[in-house]
Amino acid sequence: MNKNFFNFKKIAITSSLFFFTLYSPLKANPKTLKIGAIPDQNQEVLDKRFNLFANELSKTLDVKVNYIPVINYVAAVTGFRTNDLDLVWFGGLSGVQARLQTPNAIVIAQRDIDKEFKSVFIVNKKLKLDSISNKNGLKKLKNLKFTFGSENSTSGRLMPEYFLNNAGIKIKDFKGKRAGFSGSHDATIALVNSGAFDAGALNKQVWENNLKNNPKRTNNVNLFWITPDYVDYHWVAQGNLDNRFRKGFTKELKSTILDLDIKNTEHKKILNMFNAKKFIEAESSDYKNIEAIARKLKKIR
Amino acid sequence: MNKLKLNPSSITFLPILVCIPLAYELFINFHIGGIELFKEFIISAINPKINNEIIFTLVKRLNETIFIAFSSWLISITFGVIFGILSSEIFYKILNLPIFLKRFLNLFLTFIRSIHEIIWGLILMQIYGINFSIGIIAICIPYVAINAKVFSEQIENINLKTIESIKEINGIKSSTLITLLWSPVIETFKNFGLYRLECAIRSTAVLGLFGVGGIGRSIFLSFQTLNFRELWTYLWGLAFLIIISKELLKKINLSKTSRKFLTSFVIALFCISLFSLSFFVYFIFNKNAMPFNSINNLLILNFNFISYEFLKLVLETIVLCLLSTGIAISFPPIFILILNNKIGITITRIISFLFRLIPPPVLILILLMFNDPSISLAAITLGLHNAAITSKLLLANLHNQDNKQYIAMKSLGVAKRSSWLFGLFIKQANSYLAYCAYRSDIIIRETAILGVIGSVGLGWQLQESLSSFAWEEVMVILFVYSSIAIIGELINGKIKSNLT
Repeated sequence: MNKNFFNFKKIAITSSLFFFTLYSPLKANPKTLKIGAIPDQNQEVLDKRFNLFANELSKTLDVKVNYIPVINYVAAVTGFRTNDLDLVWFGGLSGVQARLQTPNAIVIAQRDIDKEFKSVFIVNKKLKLDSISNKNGLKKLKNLKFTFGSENSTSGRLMPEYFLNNAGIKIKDFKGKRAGFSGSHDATIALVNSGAFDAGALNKQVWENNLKNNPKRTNNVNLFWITPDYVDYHWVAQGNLDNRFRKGFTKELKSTILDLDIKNTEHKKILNMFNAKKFIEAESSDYKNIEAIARKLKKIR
Repeated sequence: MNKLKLNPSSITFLPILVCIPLAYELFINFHIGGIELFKEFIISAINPKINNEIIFTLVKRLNETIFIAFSSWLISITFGVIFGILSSEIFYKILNLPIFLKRFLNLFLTFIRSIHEIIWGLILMQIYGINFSIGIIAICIPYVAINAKVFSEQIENINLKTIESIKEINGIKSSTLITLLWSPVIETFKNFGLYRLECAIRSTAVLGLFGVGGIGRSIFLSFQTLNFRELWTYLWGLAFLIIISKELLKKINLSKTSRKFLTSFVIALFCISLFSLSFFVYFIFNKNAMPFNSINNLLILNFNFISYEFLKLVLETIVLCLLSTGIAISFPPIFILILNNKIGITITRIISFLFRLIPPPVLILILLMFNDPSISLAAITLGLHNAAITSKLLLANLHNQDNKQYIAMKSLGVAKRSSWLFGLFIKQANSYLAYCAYRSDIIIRETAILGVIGSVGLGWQLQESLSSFAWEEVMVILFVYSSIAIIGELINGKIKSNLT
């Protein structure tokens, strides 16, 4: 027999083995709590953060908890709507979008820092623009090349656009009658730093992180303005968890998250991964303002 | 004065003219503010992050990628051959079927080809939720259409006279079909099909699938946070996978086909088609469409938002496609012509491998470190990425070609470059152009994922509408994308028929 035929056979066998070994873990168990998150950090942080969190939930609630990664904001919202995710860590805007598309969804909690979240506006140094003290100064950004972060980011797009509009600046007032979307907070810094864009807006936390850990990347950038507070990230859960798991499950879930205590070493690890001291109560009414802004800016229709 | 004659080889070199406006715009927009980040990117390439955790993740992701890429490759090749035969003229001639069926099928294939796999994924996800199979199906849909086009084009090259003569002796139709089609299908599979595996692997790398991930998600997330050392770990892992899979596939030598191999090949083909079809049917009926409110929206087109601005975006997209296609066509032959020696070719190979490896969104971010966002910058990014792909095929075909004429010309004292051009390249020009023509389809859909960061073209609007869940707008944009692709196809056909 031909030698090549053997090779082909070997390949066929190994590939079918691959199929079977890889396919088995994909069958989902209906009694599994599936958690997800918008992908706003790097892989390592996301995996560590949510796997730790899933372990903790599974330990206290005594159910199987799986972390299912998704690729973008749209996928997270859709996954929640189609019941493929039970509990999701959303941003302000994506959370509101998800809740509007999924009746009965419940806001579970937010971090202490989410009550007073802020964005920053940054400018390239060569423009020699001084920082401003109130929103009216944003007018100086007219006719500059401006970039947001991701299209669906609350701190990198929605709120900055809202503050710009309040100051009387529309997107079409920027150079090229359009704003860029860098895709992420870090990319916004990089693009403004390089001079590809004159100015940009991003999450204040990420900005401070970069100042501290990556000063080289912020060499050519000046802080222009810090926005007022608004609410951001929150945990949102499906409304049918009590039916699916047991009576009072949603309540237990909520108190497990709220009871995470920074004095407990295990809990501290999780809270540190979330950059928070604790989780606090949140209501859907807290996000009414975000919804109104999103409707005005046509992110919700 | 001699008139410039349009022939396949002059058409491959002429598009280099797009570089004049491109170079001008890139030159006036040049800046060096991002040099630090660029340095970081380059240094990270030789100093990727290596620790236990990341290696573990890498291996896991590579496993997923192999599975996704391999299965989508198998399915898309199988159905590519089937649809390729169904959309070739020969098929209708032999079976005496009406030719409008073919036109209809071609139109349909162009439509599904013109939409990026990530968009297919997002649309399917609206109906079926997060599901591992969606990733595979999303890759398969455009890939089947691409493969079908390439296979049907090669099948069209069969001499029609052979068919006539076989018909005259009243051969059995089905066996006529098989005897005629077998050798071009196998030839194309050898030259093109194996290389599609690399494409499928790369595609999973851009996609970062739904639910399970694959290496694409890791690449995307580490790039998003500009974690270059992590990014390079994943990219090198991907490179390793591409090289290994290529070497493995080289081992299957299809030219020495034994009878047994042939039979098993056909049986395998049949099983795969059956398996994937039944899987597809199972998938559609098993997952009952969700409490779904936007499925109706998927079918509504809202043309109200079309304005002057929108038309400008359409125009930008067309210009972007033309410019990048120009680069993708003309760069490889010019590069090889200039660097026509062993070292030069090796350098070309390495550079083109890197440009294929680095996903276009990463590439444009790096280029933005030195330039302002503009159509030219987006065009050069897409152009370079695609030129790397076309150059690979060109090099492989040149390598396989018989080079007697080239050696003869050289020994007659003709300059090395001219003998390369007239002895070697001229024979490849036609098939190279045919390949580039279909590459332009791919460039059209790639503008969808590149437009955002450079804020150029329809891609920008598409992302904005997608993220606002404005399906009626998304549908209009996809409709426009397909129209551009179909018009492009018609023009390509015109040029081709003028050449022959």
